[in-house]
Amino acid sequence: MFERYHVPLAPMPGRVSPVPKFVIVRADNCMNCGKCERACIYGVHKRSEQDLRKMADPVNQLCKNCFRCIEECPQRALAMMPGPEFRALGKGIWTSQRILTIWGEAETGKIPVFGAGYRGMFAGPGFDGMWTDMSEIVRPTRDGIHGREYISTSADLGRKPSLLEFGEDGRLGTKMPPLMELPIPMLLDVTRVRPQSEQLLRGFALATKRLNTMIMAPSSAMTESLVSDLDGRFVPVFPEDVDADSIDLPKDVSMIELHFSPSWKSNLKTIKSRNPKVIVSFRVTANRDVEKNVLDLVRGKAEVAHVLYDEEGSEDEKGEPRHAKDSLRKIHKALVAKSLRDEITIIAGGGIAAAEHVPKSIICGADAVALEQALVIALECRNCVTCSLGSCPANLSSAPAEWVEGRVTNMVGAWRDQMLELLGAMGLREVRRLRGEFGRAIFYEDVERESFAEVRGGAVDD
Amino acid sequence: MHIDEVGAGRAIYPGDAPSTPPPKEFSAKEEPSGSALADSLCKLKVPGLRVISAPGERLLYSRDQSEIPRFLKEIMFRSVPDLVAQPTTVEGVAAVLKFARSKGVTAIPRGSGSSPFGGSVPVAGGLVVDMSKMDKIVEVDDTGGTVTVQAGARWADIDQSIEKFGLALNTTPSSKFSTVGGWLATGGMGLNSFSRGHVSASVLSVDIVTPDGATKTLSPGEPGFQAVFGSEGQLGVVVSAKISVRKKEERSRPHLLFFDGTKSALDFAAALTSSEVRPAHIVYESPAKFSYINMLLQKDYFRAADAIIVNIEEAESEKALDGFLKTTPFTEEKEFLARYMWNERYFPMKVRRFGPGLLGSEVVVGRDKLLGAVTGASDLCRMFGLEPLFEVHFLEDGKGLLLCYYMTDQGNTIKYTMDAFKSMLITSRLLDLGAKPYSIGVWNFPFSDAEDRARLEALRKAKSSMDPTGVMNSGKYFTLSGRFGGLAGLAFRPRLMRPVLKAMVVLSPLTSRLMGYAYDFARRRLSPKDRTDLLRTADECAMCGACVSVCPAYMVVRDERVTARGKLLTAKAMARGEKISKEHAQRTFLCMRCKACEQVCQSKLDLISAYEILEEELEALCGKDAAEIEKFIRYTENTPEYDDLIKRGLVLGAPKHGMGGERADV
Repeated sequence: MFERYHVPLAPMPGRVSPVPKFVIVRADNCMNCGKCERACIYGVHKRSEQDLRKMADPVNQLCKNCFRCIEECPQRALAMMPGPEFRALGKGIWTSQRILTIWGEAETGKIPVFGAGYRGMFAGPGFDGMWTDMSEIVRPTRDGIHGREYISTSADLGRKPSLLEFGEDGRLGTKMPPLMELPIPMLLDVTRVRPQSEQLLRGFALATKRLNTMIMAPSSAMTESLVSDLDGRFVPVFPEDVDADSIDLPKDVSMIELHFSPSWKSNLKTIKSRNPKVIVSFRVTANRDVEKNVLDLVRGKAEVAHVLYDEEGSEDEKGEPRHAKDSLRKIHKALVAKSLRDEITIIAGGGIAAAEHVPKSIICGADAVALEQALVIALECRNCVTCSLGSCPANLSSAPAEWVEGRVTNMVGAWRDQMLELLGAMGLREVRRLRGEFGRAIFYEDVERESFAEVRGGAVDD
Repeated sequence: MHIDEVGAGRAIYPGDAPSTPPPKEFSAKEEPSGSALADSLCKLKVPGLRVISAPGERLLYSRDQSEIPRFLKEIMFRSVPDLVAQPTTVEGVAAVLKFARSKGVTAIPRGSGSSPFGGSVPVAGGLVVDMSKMDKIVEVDDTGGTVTVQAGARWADIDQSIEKFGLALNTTPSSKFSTVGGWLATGGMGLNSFSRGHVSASVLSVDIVTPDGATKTLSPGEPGFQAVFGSEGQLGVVVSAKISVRKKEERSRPHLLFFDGTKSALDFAAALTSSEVRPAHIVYESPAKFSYINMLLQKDYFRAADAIIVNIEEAESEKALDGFLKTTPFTEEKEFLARYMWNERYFPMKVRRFGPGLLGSEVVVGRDKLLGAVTGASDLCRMFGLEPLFEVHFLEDGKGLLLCYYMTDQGNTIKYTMDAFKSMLITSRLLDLGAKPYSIGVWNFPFSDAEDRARLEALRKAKSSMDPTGVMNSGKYFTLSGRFGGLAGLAFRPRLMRPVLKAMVVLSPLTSRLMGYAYDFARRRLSPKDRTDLLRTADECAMCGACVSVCPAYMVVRDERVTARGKLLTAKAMARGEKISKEHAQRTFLCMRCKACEQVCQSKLDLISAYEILEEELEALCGKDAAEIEKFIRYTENTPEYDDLIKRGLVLGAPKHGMGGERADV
């Protein structure tokens, strides 16, 4: 019987004290009149439980920056400032707001009201320079889009032959390559994620199982019991210099990852000759040759190209590297021009820092995305650098697996819900249709060119 | 789907509003009265009247601002009232007075109890009429320049509420938190008396309820009008007054000048009063005041010398003063120093903490006798080993309101008692030097014969017409009652006591030596061994009652034991080993922690810390009724009166956080 895909969500509170976005300072001249308590609808201000006659310290993380308490304080005793801890969060595209948003999603599994124009930027570098039509209206529709209609978020992994050949007897002559359907276009990839511990890995594995997606991890990282527990959802990633002959795959593996190395063709042949049912994916570091390399992969009958961007979503280039949104579009266009697009699945990894980055990557031509840093951020990581020094404000090394599972599941669930909203708003019934639909988005540079090319005499940079 | 606006389910946010609605009423648990008199007054069911019969609370009314050792007072007088009535309406006052008359009980009107002379303190029990809850500002007529207020209104509140109309009071007492009724009935001289005269000049009419329950409206010129001023509750209870006010001055610029010697300073002041400068007010301060201020400020900002402070409000007189100063060899001090001292005019009790304790004498002296009075009293003080502070507020006719006070230690009963006695000797000496007593009350009774004969006669006449049965504040002013069939009062009789005092002054070298021995004994044997921080704070309290007027808890509970003054008295009572009833203890916890009391406290006491200590002690003793506290807080913070208090900034002069005057509604 058909079972509708559903991500079960349950609140999973954080383990360390929350980082308040706004900090309310109560000056000494507060006269405990309680006006703030009655003014605040979020419950930031309360009378102290020990002594009701005094005001307790403000519960800063509940503050929504509405300024009502500050307005109403008859003593002008309240002041607000951006939380210093909040401002210190994250770096680069992992802005403090994005980190806080992911924390919220991981805790509640609910969709935050946040996106371009909705307290987010209207333009900016990378994915910020791109609007999907109505995409950033990531507010939930009144009763939730999936209450009304069925929208598929499935993604296919594998090679789809462009044409089928039939034998004289009318039978299918084409040897059908293996194909897998994931219920969401999101995979977990912990290969490049820094903090590693058995509990974390187990937590990620449990989340993978709950989400019914796949997890990529170094081939040696997972214990046997975990691998068998994952039941084919484990994608072993083999090191770059691996000798394909020595690879002995466990029985239930359905996909593996190799590196795009000079010997990739022979490696592919070796693996395929022994395990024809296994999907072989190649990790391609994105650089200025990435279109050519992916074309090579298609022609060599590779089934999946996993394009790797860095943490910021950029290519590995000195000078001015392209961002994934441009790079992916180039790859997609190159494949379409050669009529080869469906012969390979493209997974984009790196720089996926918000729910909206998933559909945006897909619009730019990816079939699916691999979540990396976001997984750890969901665990209250602050994207600081102290883990290399052996200390962690989120105390990740002690995170129990069940908690990790819950947090990651919540975040992915929230991201999927946002994708559903977006697809519903666009009138699409499945996410596969979104792939490469550049017209579904407005790119800042296009708008700028269209608006100002005439004005500036065509001097706008292309 | 349609969602009902009301009752759509639980609130979205867990913190949204208290889950239970605030209580609609609150009344703190009362102690059982057990007095037939109280019960019969309660039976009258006078609307808005609170009858106070609990011993703990009645005790509060047995004293005023002065700190008389209880044992001494109790030997001579029965100062605890039998009953206290706290009316809120004129009808209530009338009913209470009629009740007092029918029962033959003395009625003693009381304002905020901030005079030190005992005018509002019973001498032989009786019924105290506490007017502090009739504190409405009834009407402000900004075109006519008048304000109508109830007698319990405090001068500070009136000043604040007329300020927004661009008006100001003509004169104010230096204890600005005293009540209208209180000041009219006692002194009437104060700040700006130099330019604006006695308060009676600013009163257009006064309503007074007489013991027969009738309300009399008296206007200037009518018989009995003048007698009301300084009547000390002999005629009836003042319930409201219509007061003329002036346009608020556009500028106020105090000037401070130092002199070498008292004579030089007083001569300067005399010359100034008769010049064309026409200042708003002139004050003389003696050197000791500045020594104490320097100690308070922890830096020698001021010269310890005789000083004159002149406040100028008109541009013309400013010019005139400039010209006047040029004709003299004196130069004025920097403006900020002058402003500081001028600001101190409302806080004369600040220096009390150096005792802790302050005692003194207050008299009115003619201009030509001023120097003699100051030097004479000063010499006497020094002979007694006291360091006197003198303050003279010049009055319009060149007379001066002379305040002579000195530090004492009220923790040491014997020393304190002797110091208190010395103040009588000083007053006696000042009267010999030609002064008139400023107020009679209880403690100045021996000097009542020095009062102006004509004034006394007028008051006597007014009393016989308004209070023929002698219900009002009887046993005081004309005679003095007390225990032992009036024996104590007899001792205080002017004819008996004055000669004794005079003799003691004459023999002051001997007197002071005898007292010196007792002093030594007191210091060695009886000084308090360990005075806790709490008791020290209690001793430093000036009992001026400023905190009462701003206390939101007092507004709700109407029991002074919830105010700072009341709490510190509770602390003192505990230290004396008195038993504190459970209900009494619970009152102490009824506090909003708004710190308004700290704001207005002129002694700048660290009150909140004191409360914490006191509450801890009381909690250990009697426990704490958390449910009552919660109900009290939830009720109070939801009353509109409390909102009004808060809108006013709760306290006169509360910081507005440097955000300028954008609060137009204040």
